[in-house]
Amino acid sequence: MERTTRIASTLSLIGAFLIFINTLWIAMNGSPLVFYSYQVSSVEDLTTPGAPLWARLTLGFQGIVEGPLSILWLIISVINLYFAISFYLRPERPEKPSSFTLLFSLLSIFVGGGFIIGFALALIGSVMGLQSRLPVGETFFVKLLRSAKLDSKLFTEVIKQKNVMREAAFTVLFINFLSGLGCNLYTLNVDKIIHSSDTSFRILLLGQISYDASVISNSIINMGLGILKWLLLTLIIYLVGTKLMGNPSEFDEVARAVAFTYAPICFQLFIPLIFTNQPFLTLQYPMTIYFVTNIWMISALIVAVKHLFDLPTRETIGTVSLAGTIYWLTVYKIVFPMFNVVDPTFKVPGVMFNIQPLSLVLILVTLSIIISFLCGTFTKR
Amino acid sequence: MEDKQRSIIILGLSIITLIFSIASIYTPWWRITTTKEKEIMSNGTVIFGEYRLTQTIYATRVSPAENTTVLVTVPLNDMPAEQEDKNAFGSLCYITLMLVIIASTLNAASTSLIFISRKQKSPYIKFARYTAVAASVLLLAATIYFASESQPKLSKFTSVLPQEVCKIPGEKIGSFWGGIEMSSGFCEWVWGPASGWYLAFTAFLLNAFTSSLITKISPKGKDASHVKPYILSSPTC
Repeated sequence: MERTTRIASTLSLIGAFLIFINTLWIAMNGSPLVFYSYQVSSVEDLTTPGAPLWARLTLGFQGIVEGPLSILWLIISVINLYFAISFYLRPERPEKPSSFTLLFSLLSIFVGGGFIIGFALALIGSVMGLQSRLPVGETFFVKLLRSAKLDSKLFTEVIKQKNVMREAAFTVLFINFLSGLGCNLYTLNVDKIIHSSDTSFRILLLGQISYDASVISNSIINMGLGILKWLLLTLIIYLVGTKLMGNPSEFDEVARAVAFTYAPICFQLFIPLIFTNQPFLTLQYPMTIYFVTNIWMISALIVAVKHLFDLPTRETIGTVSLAGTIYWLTVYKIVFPMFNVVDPTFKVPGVMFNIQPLSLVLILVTLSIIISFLCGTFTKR
Repeated sequence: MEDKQRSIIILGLSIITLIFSIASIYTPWWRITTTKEKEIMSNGTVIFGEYRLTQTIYATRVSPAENTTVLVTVPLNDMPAEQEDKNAFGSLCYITLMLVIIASTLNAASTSLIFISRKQKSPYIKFARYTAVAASVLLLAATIYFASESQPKLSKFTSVLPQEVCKIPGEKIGSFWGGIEMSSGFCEWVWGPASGWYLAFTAFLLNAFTSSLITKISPKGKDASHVKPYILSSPTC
């Protein structure tokens, strides 16, 4: 598939070049790149009432990009560029250069990831290179992009293709790992900012990003929980769609379609890039990202369910509304609290919605059921 | 991919390498500066000094609180140090500069050969490889030599910054990369290679890879190998 390799090699080359420029800039700067909306002299300046909106963006991890280590990162970025150029010059042999570009692009996260865009392009390009035998639209990241674009053809394809079940499960694992990484890194840093003034100075004003083993372990937990949540959501949609409404469909078809709707969730990886002060360290900013990505996912789910059961839009909204409500109640009000019954010290990792009090939750549930009823979900076909 | 497109990519890489090696002549190779944390704690006061291969030291102190800016350009000979130590550092700068100038010349030759080969299918492309390798070796030698020799020489200076800006005794410079820590655990001063050193080092890496990539431009011999059997087997000959 010549077109796939051509696009893959071009994306890898642009990505590797951006990673190289970013790494060289950090090396010459002598520290990670930190951008502020405006300069402040202390953390207190940010917390005073009436302080204007402040945000900081960091590219690179402090402590591992400075000093003699900068040479190592520079060498890695140039080797990455070399393999990307080799791939561009000889696209007929994509496996070896793509594998190296994939590896070095992942490592580039520590040095700013080529202003993030470079990392994303190199990652997409190298994975496309490894899947160069497939048409462009069938490659992994292009499928995710098509899902994020709410491409209805994608869902029609994955419903029919029985052999993509493995890829669907991998999609859920991969996206939940990325989302877990972003959310856990953010919550760990917020926790450190709250508990130590010295660390808050380092994180907010010097652009340091704190990390420890718990970030990875919690992201791995997130992968497991992600699979359970995916199967549960699939089961509920399957039961509502087939048993309640009487639409013909198989469980595996629903599972494949639902898996690809998770694509927008991977944007939660970028949460810890930015910290804001308004309101100071409350969850407004990450919750906005969380809310937007989830609404985006629900939109993808509506498109998927529409094609899955061949429903009109009104009934699809009703189905997703009812299934989503049952899913949310089960996961956040039954399953997760049960973890705390088993082990009171366990905290479910990451960022999540928690609506209080229970009476408000039940009012929202009732509203959702009424919407489903009005949309015709309870009418047997 | 066509040969012409391939050689354009390699030519582009070679031009970038040439720009980097020339830029390293004019940009600072070593610097000492106040850290970001020190800058924040002292209400935005920034002090830094930069050493160039042209044996010139640029030092700056910006203090927004006092509304003062001090910019000083000092020849190496006017730095607060013994003449013998200044001569030793000057000699280091001179040798490094010569290595970089020769490497840049070789780089220019390499770029020209790649350019000519692209236009006229010249057989000189293999020489471009040799010049790129030679330039690469010289740039590596320049960066390693400067990194290993600058600290012992700078540590003998009375102050590594002009005294109008700030006094930092040379004896505190214990390594090529380093810093002075404050009692609070934060760093007050950091020093290490500056943009020129990094540009030269990057030019070394790019040169090394350019020389390897030159082999990917289709060699002339490939076309010739197609011609010869054709002539031999042709019944019309």
